[in-house]
Amino acid sequence: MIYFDNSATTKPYKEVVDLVAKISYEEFGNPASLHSFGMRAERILEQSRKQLAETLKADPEEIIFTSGGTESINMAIKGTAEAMKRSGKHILSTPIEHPAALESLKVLEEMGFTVEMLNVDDKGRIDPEELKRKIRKDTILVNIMMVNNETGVIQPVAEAAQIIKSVNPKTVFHVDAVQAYGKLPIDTRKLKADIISFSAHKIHGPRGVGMMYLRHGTKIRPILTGGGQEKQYRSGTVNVPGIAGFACAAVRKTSQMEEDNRTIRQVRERLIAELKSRMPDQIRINSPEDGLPGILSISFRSVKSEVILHALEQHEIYVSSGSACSSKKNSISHVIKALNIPAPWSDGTIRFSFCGENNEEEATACAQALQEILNTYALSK
Amino acid sequence: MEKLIYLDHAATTYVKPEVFEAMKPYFVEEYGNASSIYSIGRNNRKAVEEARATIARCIGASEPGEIYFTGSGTEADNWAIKGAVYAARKKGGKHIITSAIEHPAVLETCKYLKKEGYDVTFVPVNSEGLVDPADVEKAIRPDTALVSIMYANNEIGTIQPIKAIGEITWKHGVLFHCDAVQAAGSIPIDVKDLGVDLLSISSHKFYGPKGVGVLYIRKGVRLENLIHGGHQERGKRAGTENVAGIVGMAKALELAVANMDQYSKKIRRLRDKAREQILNRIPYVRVNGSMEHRLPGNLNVSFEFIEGESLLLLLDMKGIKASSGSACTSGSLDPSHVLLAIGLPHEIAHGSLRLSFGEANTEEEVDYLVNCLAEIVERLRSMSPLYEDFLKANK
Repeated sequence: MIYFDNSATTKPYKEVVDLVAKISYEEFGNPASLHSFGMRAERILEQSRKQLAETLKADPEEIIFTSGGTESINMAIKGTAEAMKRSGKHILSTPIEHPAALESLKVLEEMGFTVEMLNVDDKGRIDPEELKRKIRKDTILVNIMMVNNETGVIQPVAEAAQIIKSVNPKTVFHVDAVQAYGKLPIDTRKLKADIISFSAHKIHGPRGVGMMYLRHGTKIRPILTGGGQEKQYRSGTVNVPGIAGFACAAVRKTSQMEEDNRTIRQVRERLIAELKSRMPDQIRINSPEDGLPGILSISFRSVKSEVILHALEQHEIYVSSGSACSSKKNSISHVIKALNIPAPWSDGTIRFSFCGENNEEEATACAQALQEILNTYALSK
Repeated sequence: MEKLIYLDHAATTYVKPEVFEAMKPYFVEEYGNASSIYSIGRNNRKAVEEARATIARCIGASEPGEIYFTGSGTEADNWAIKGAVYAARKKGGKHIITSAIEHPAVLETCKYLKKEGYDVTFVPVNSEGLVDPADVEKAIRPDTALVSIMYANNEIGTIQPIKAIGEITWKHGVLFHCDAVQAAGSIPIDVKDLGVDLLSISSHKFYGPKGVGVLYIRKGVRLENLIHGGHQERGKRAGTENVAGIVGMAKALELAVANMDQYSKKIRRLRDKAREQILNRIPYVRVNGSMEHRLPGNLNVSFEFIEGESLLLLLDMKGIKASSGSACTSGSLDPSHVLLAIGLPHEIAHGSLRLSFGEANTEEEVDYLVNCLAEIVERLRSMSPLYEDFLKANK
């Protein structure tokens, strides 16, 4: 089996699974309980919070746990709008955000907020100059993803943060770092975002766990009310085993990031080289060269992506036609649309996403399979 | 290892080894994204759908399509209440009826909506901790969007007359949400028989994993979404499915329902033994809440002239893990809103202890508990000036 769909979800590290199992059975206390058994769970929780904060050079107090990246993004966007609505109703975003952001923004539009989309170039990149021009006095939120989940384009979020803070210091800047975490360095002392969203299962942690970085002083309204866990920001019994698993995965992933990225770059380059030599006229690379090495979007001429996907599956090679979240719809993804990819290409877009456990032989095998598939299925021109 | 007598099952439970075994393949081998369209994604999808069918069966739902997975019981409660009243907004609905003793996930959500301009009626409970369905009926208005009453209380374990309330809401055409987080796995749940439209449950209260909940939404009931994004859960709840967690929750509930008769008898016997011995051996004690309409594993007792916090601490040192209120609010020093609602004075509410028994507790543990309690209560009272005054006055 060749698994090239690591942006959809990853295989949890073995030590993550072992840790989740151990805590679920042995240290299962509720950290809100007053007895020592609850306090033991609380210590594990706070230790995990500290470890995760360290990977971001953040204060542990700035870390809030959620049920996933989607919940973090929902809370960042809706919670900021709710907390800031008296200062204005203008929000800036990009058209190539994850559905968790786009759908949350749509809800805000229905509530009377104005959401303005920044333009992106043919690689999906925003223009910092345009951002500068568009920030207004009543701009309460700017929402930009650090790495796009379909093409791997990296947005200049550090520069964006500086621009935002220089034009309107009150504007809250939310960065969706779900695809970036553990793959690019994130230092909250340098990246002056107010809120950053994260997910555990994209970096070999368990599913059902997410995190939010909330810079000191940033106002946000919770979307889940109740027992007041997570300093009132996010109610619900804290998922200590899942969070400990997240911290375990994050420590390993961030510490071996460079090594993983080297491996991933080799796999990516091998796949590109093999495809270019086998079918130079049949491929179009949508991902920018300076994008995240782990995400590679390629369009194949005159073949439908579902055909490629299912044919690759016969070879036990797993890829994606868009993001997993939108791959069930039979339409071209909003990201591919935003990149204006010409017609013979747009229907045949495949996302390959790698992890540190892939290797170059897998890339060669994948290219070989693709060549067979295209020879069989490509429509005559 | 130090002695551990866990009597706080209402706060959370461990994950049973056989539950984790069921989850493990979805961590280790079947790690595809359930929303991916290739085969390992499909295996995940199949597992999620099987879990949905299991849970539907366990709570008597008409079809698996009425089961929606969430990230917790709190999220299910938030979604049910906010989703229902926001959906009713267009039709002029702006009134919510709930009880005074709900879990904070319900109470705080109602208070949040109150700040947004909704009206909330908190129906009282009697001294037994029970809601009178007639009070619910009296509170219903033409603009009532939702009634939300919990099945079983998390602090005193009292079981509400849900079926009778369900008949009333049905008669008046008002949506009915039931927070069954404490009830699920402990007593039978049949959503059709109860007549509820919405019902919340949480996995970690019945030996399943943390971080998974379910909202039952009766077919035809319209709710606004709470978490927006991808198309997961048929477009109703976005976020990559926590497949291992979902599989674990279904397995845990299935086990709980299959063994309910056996375990509830055992747990009830332990609880009744503890109650009897405490009342026999310790003076100036009262048991809070109806004993007749009550979860088998719950015991809530108040010790006069005692600070609950001190009692908890000293029990803890003996290896006994109990609670003074619910875990969610036990960090606060305010007396429990539930005990105040059943009419306890502040000072007595302060001296309360919640013991929640589980499958693995034993008779020996109950004996040990009662011995420790008798000794600790006596010691604490001997240091209490109030107790001294009381004894003098009653000589």
